[in-house]
Amino acid sequence: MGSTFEIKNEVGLVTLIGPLTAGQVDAFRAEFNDWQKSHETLRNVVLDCHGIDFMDSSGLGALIALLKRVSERGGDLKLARLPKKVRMVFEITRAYKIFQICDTVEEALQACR
Amino acid sequence: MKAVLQTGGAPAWARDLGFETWALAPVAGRPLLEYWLELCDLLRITEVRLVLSDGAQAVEAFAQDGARWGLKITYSFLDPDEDPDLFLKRSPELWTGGLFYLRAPLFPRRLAAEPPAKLDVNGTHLHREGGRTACLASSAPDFLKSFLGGGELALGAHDFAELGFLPEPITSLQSYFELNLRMVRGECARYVSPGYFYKDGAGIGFNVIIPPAARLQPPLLIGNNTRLSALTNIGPDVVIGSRCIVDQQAELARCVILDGTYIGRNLEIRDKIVAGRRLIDPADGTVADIEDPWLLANVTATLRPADLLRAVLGWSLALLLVVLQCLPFLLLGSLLKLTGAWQLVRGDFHATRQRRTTLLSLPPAGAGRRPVLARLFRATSLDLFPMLLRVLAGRLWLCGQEPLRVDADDALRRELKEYFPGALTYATPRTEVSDTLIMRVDALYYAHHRSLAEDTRILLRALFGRLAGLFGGAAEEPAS
Repeated sequence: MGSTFEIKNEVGLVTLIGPLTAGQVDAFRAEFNDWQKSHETLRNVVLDCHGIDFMDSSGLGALIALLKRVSERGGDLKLARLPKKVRMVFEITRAYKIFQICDTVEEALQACR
Repeated sequence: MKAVLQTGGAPAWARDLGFETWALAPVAGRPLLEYWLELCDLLRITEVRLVLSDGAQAVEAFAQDGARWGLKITYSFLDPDEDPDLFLKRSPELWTGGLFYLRAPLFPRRLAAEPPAKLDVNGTHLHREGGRTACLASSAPDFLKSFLGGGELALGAHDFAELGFLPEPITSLQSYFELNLRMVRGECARYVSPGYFYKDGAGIGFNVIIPPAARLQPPLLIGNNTRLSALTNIGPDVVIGSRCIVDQQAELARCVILDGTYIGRNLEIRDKIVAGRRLIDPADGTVADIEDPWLLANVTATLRPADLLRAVLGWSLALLLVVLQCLPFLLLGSLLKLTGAWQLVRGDFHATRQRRTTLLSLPPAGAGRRPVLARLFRATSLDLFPMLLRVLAGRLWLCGQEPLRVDADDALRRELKEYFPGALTYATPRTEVSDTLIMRVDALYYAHHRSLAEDTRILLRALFGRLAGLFGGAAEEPAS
């Protein structure tokens, strides 16, 4: 699991690559927390999920924890470019009801402004 | 007239559903083959030949001798690469009295609730798919002679609609899904479904548990031995197979749930097919295998009473062996470890009930000449001691199939519907490592023939075969 962190137009853009499962979530969560701490003014975050090739319930739990963390700062977390298989997991677990899911990164960044 | 139904092969949609043969893929909770057998009975055909290929064992186990439908079923086997028509052409004289032939995965869609009309004497009905005969019924000698001779004579052939049904192709997951939804929306009433109770658009099988707090919205079909939990919301347009469990607060609408599926708590399944832990979107054919058993899972098959007896006796015997081997294992094992003469190899294996376990085993014998102590260690089966502990922990059976390695043998593990990893197997007395083919053959053989007698045979061959090896006895051959 790899992840890159950048800031575009005052919105955090996190790109995830590889599987997001029980084995990877702790490292990703720690990485995200460190990055968020180093950018204290950052509120809104977009997660580019295009590179996630597999996700289980631990991965989903990590995203929900991220949403909670971002919301506590008064910001919003939006997901972009969900692969079809991951989107199916969101559908059956009803997670699509709590996340705003955009088709493109640009759309998600726009929605954060 | 005789019927020849070609059951082998699985198109992509059937493989995605997890079937080796299209014939056992269920439509509205019943295998496709059953609709054809029922049709044979209605057409007053009593002699049915099922031509088997992939999935032969499962088809045979399902159809048996055909007495259930009032038919006399016999079987033939065809190589998967062979043209099904060749089977007919090998012995054309068998079919000259009339032939009802099904060549492709089709569904016999009844046009009305009335039974199909009787076949005309000397009449011919033909259905073609992709320019080839997919289904035919004929008692016309000239037509049959031409067809069996290699010709494709369509002249004078009528449509099956005249008989009251139409062979309908299933070409994709989408068409399979739509067929199921059409059935649940009312067409299933045209077919005989033993055990189902239809009322107000709801068909419920035997022994279905529906708590008062579950909400059913017809049309829906629920198979036998299925359990719904409280606060579930089922329907409309839902087909649930047999032996399914739908956990609390799950919502199901416009979906097909195949036999033996567990739907986790609070899930929402819409416009999907679920086959065990496999989630399918029929609209575009996307298939996602869900790893979390609390979301979607295969309902583990109930053990047969004989399996329970095997489990109890196996565990007791394992306990006895552990008691007997404990001291010698500690002494000899420590000695071997100290001298560095031999070391056990650690590996991750698939255990019972979809769990994993770490096992210690000896490296293959071909690795070089072993010291006397090491040979004695193996001959007295002391190397099996760690595996016997796994038997006591419920991770392995005492006798069973060779435990399959995680990752390396995952493909074989998925293929095996019945998996009984054992401490003692057909491979135990052998000195060489089993290749995948041998493992597959042994595993399938054991799944089919498992019994107390077979376990006793494995036990004796494993323990005494190894002992004989110490004194120069020949290594055993594969049991199957």
